[in-house]
Amino acid sequence: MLTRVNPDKPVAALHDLADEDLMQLVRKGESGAFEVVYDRHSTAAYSLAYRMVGSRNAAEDVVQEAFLSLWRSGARYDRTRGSVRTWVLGIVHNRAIDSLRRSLTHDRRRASDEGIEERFEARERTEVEAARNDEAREVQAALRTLPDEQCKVIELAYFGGFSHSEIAEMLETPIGTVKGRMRLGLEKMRGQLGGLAEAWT
Amino acid sequence: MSACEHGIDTGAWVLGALDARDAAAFGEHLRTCAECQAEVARLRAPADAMALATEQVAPPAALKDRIMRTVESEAQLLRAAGPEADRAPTPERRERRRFFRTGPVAALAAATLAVGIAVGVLVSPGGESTRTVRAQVTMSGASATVHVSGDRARLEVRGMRNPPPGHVYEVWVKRGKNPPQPAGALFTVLHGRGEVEVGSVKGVDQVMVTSEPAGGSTAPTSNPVITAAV
Repeated sequence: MLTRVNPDKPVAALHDLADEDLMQLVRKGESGAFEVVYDRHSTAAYSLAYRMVGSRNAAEDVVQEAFLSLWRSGARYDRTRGSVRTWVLGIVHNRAIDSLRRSLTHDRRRASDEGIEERFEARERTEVEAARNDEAREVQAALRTLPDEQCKVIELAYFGGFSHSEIAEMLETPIGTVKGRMRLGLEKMRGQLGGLAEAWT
Repeated sequence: MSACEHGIDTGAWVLGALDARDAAAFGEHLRTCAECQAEVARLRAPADAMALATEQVAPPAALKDRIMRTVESEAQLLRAAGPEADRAPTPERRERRRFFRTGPVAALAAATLAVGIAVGVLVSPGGESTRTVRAQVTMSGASATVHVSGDRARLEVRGMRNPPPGHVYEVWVKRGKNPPQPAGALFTVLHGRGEVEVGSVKGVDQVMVTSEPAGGSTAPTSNPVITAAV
């Protein structure tokens, strides 16, 4: 018969736990703890995957793969190396890049979220999600303060999964210039993010 | 910023954008250069934050249902394979479980199950067509289908009873006259239902399922419950 949580750990208590503590329970196979982790991070995960792979189906596949791998290999999470969210989004990022590389349309696709508003009708947002959206907006605002050419190379690298030489070719720009823009752009973004940047480490 | 001549690579490195050759060289350099290590550590945060630099969109509820179905069935498997797998629950434990079944957790779980047949394809590379093969099942009232997409297959069962306590179902693949090989997939069923990734079925003639001791076996120890010619 189905029991979602260990009877000693009511679900309300699970919601009060920090991600890092939930991961210890996930490691022991507690699906209730996994569900809370999913609820907390699935929007950021799905948004990232969608932005990268550009289709709802492919984004769902990426998120499913990433969370199932988190469920099956929670033991690999090391709290000394960063937050659970950073780790989760790192898995999503890697899976999305794998997905892009498998996809034949990689070179035709561009890191763009144009039209995303129209493609999603209903949105369910809890307060927590709204808070996370604030954070996302802050990051987006920080990115927008960058000169276009810095923003471009960072987006192509991060969302598009392109290598520095692919980007150099695409933009007909010398390799050293591309690397320099990535470095300067991230440096500037770090300054813009201020305390938020610290929270990510 | 690092004054080191290799410092130019730090941004591309944290973005994972260095080509394999440059990445190998810079990775090697990074082991010994404290300046570049410090800069990489600094740039890691804005690079990681890029994950949020996009419009936030809630995923569809069906995705969660699909993921939770898999997670639940695997959690059940873990419990079945645990040290107390074949011990009868103590009255106290039974009591507490009953309490939880009526709680919000149970309601949520029921809602998840009520969604019914959710298809959980882990990886389905670009638009390959899916072939469905109906399997022979020895258990009365049960049915099983194998969905083959490219070289990959997924097994779906309905109306199955769980194997005896301390046992799990194990999936096998058979190529020609060779003995069955473990597909590396174990499963149990939840309300008669289960689905499992069989993995690659390249060159495989038959997919089979047997009941095996928890943890699985390297060769079948019982007669197949399910047989499918793929």
